[in-house]
Amino acid sequence: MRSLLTLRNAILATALSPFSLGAQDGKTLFSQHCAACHLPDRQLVGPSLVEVSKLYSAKIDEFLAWCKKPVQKRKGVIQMPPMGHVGDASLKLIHAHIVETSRGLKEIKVKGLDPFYASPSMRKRPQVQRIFMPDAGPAAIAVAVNDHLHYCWDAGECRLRYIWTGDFIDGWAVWRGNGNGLSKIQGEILLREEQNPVPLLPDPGNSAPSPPKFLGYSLVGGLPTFRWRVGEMEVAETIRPTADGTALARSFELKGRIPPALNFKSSDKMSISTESAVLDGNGRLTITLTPRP
Amino acid sequence: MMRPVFILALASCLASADVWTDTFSIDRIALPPGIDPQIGGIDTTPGGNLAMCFHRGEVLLHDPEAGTWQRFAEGLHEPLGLLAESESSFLVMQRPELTRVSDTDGDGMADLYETVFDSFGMTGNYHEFAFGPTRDREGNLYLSLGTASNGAGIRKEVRGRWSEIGLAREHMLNGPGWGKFKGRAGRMYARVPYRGWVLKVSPDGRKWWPFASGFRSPEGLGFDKDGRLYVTDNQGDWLGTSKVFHVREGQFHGHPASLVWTEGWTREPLKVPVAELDRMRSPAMGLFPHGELANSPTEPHMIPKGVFGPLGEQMLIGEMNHANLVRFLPDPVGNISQGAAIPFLRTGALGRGNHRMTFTPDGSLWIAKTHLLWAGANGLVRIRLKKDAGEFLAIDRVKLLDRGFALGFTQPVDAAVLQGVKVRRHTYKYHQGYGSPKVDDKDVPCAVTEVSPTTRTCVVKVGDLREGYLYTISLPGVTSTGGKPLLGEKVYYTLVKKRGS
Repeated sequence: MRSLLTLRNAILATALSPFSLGAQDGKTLFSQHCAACHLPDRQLVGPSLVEVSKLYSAKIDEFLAWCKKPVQKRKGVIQMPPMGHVGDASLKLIHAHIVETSRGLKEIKVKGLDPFYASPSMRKRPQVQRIFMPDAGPAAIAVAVNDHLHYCWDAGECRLRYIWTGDFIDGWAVWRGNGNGLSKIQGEILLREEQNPVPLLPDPGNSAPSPPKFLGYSLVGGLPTFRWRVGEMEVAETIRPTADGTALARSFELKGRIPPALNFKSSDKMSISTESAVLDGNGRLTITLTPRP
Repeated sequence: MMRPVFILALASCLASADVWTDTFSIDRIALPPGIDPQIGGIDTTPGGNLAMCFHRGEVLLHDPEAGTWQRFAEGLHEPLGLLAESESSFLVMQRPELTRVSDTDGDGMADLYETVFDSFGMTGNYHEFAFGPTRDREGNLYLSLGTASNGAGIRKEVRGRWSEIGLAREHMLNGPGWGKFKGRAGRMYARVPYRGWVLKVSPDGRKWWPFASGFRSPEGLGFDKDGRLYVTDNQGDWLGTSKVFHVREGQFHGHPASLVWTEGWTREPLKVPVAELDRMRSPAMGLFPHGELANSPTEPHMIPKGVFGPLGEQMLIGEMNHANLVRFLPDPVGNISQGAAIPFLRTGALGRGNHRMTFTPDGSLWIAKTHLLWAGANGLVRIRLKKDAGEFLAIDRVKLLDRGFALGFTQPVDAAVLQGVKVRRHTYKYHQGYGSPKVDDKDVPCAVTEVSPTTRTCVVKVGDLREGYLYTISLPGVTSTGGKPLLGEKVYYTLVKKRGS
């Protein structure tokens, strides 16, 4: 009895709704609620109508259930917002419109490659690019020093995170949409720095240092000098290529209440000229980081 | 057999001739090649040039007279707003910070990227956008921070203090386990500082204040001529439909996730009874019906005085999903802000993705478009009032009366053409659910009276005026006595408070 009633209601809804809803036909409803994200024959924000129709043309109840409580099916795409507010009668009209519109159409595959991968600002060397990076905080900065040496600097923690060799980044996972992804490193990590080489001294009268404060960066020849402050100390850090471009020269300039030395650690893929480096009378030092053969 | 259909189709085309493009020219401006054409922010420099920031972090300068483009800066992280300070210094709101980008050596390229303000948290969740800045008369800056979406979790490393209120941090992590926990995170969440807030920052960036809370995805901020701060927010959980708020210090606007950053707050926002949240919240000044007027409203921006004829000093609001802007006419009742939203430039020639706006001294409106893979578009569009447009007809005043609404027109309208006016009203649910159906949606009897071609006004008498409702006044086929069609045939009036109540 219940299913008969449901069926009768469904038929009534389908039969009456074009009149009871005035101009709210399936096409209009689709353009109001769905067209911004769904194209007939290819993926846009959401799947094509061809794909939706393939899944749901004969399963209207499942279609309604999906519309009211969508879940994320596919990696790298955005979850559809729930559409329950549209109402069953209207969703059924939309369903009919989808089935009708997609009839006879074929899906056109859209390739997932970064169309701007080779654009001038993406291939410029040096290059500074702020973007979500793996193994770093969310305020990360990727820097291509030259064609084959690159590093990630963390503006939240105010420190170098890692250096790699190879190609720079593939940011498509971030740039293709709303940023729900991480940039990919196109090469091999040479060194990870686990802590700030500049000891963070406690503020006078405090047991713990205050968090470092990022002040920004200046560019000389396209290479950044990062500046940050903690307590009464201000730090500037610059990483440049060596003259032959095969290694990195890393310079610090500290002002204010500064420690005597900075501490670095070589890795099995990169050697550091001085692991405990003493600052000169002007609070400066430079070390060299060389990829091991 | 085909002929009647053809004639019908032709007739319907003629009937819907584009009244907007008869009055405004809408031109798409070509961008230089090799740039992802999603524009996050735009402003006009003191010298009348345009500065724009793009999806992948470039800042480009454009001289509209000469048609030239200049690359100024690069490498910013999803910049979604820009303010020009001079020809060579710009404030840019990027995901992690408000940054001053400037050229200090005069070579035309930025060489200094100074952090002006970054005292807010980030979890790495994609929905934590940073919007703004806009500036008040004293030079203070205002920015707004989007909440995180449970479309993803958080990254392992976050910036800023973590709020322990809510799901345990290890369960909030992105990854294969997220599906199990996302239902308990809140549809949108604010686990690091000031997500879902508007912040005020002193002109030099040294001082800042949490200003107002209760936002979900507050995409745009702007001041009107009377100094009201407008902030838009997007339909979703706790927002039955998209809205524009008049934001004042200390107010809470309804999305509870941000409450954890209220000083002294200790409760799980999702466990606060809805009735209590409802009592705490300051209502929206304008409700934009979802699917009709706006699904994702963006920047509020004032039309300069003397531009677009009688519409000067009125507020425009951008919109992502519909091919229109919104024009908003405030009509405060005492201390309560409310008013009328009217579709503006509702034409396919405008298109979707209307994200940021600026005016140049020649009276052109420039619209910067983006999509971020949601509904939208990309590129740059220039809009000018046509020189031969004559005196166009639009509604330029809406006032709530105790017996209905007074409408003011830019041109005289006679009584006969106003007889088709209809009024409908509805409201929305305030609940945790995503969006809301229209509630108590019905036609209300109305009558048009007191039509005065001299004062260019009429009164739409409405018997049943209720607080908390959105009144849709439809004016189909209205023309001026000179035969000009009405630009914007619907008025959406958000009635928060009745006059004299």
